[in-house]
Amino acid sequence: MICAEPKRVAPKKNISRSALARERAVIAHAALANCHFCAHHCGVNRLAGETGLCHDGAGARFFLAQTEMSDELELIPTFAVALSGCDLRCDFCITGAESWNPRAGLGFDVTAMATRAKAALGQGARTIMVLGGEPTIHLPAALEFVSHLPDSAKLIWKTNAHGTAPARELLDGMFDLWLADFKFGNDTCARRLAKVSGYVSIVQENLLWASEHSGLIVRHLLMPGHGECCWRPVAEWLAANLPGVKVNLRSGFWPAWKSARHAELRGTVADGEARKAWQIAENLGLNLVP
Amino acid sequence: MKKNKNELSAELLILPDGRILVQNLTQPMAEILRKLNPRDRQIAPRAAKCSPKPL
Repeated sequence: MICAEPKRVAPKKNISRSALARERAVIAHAALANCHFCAHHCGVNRLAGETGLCHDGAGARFFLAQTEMSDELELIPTFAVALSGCDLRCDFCITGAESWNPRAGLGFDVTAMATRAKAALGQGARTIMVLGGEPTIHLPAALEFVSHLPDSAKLIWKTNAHGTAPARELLDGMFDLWLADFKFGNDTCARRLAKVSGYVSIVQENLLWASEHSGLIVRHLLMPGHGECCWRPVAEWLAANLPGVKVNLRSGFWPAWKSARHAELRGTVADGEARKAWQIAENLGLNLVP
Repeated sequence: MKKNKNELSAELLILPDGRILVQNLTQPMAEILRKLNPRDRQIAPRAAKCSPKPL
């Protein structure tokens, strides 16, 4: 019999993060039988080979694992592990080929990857970052990975913030900081560019939760032509609901993957548009971080 | 996609106006870009955080 709901996660005990992660990885694996990790709520049995909108099965693969310098200054150098597959379908995805295909890349051997991550820490990496694609769809593997890492390691969860309450419950206490995207300021743009419904309220719910359960940096990638419809409402909501939260406004939009499907996404962000976006942030008093 | 798991990967997009956009900035690439433009406000602080030995 398949359990319809993932087992309730035990309240925090006085045990190490790695031990707790090991327990939760087992729970997360069982939850694949009725997958509700992301807000699409497909409810498919990934253990039996069924796939939902992310097309992912039960195993995880990765397409990149290396030390990087492009993230927020307070996080770098970071050893970044990018898992293949995602629950969103952003036409402008910079890693579209791997993010839209959970079978891209190589098999994710958590023990071997943890060895590489620990070596990177020993060589000067400050953090270990788990990202995608979207790592939420790979919760069992991500948690198992955490279980193999030192409890002292600073762990970053780089997410599209489209996860569910059951996923968040499994993640509670596992990562020191959520690095969360808030990509769209309205549901119409989200539906048109990423084929997702009800986006804004789901992301807001995740950000509010993350702000109370871990460190949080919110990222927004400024898209050409979306300063007013997407950035402004994102900025206004952050100012009103998460005052003081760290925000990284990124203006280096790159017309990648299937961006050409959308006329406004065929180029980069113009200087004037970027300046206007920075002005919005400044006027709202956002806590911008480099 | 990298050809093997130990190979580092970074991508550059060089725009007609001379701007360079980077995806997956590695330490070696940060060093190169700093040499190209030491005053770049995005790259300089990142290159400065590179450890002396390659990661």
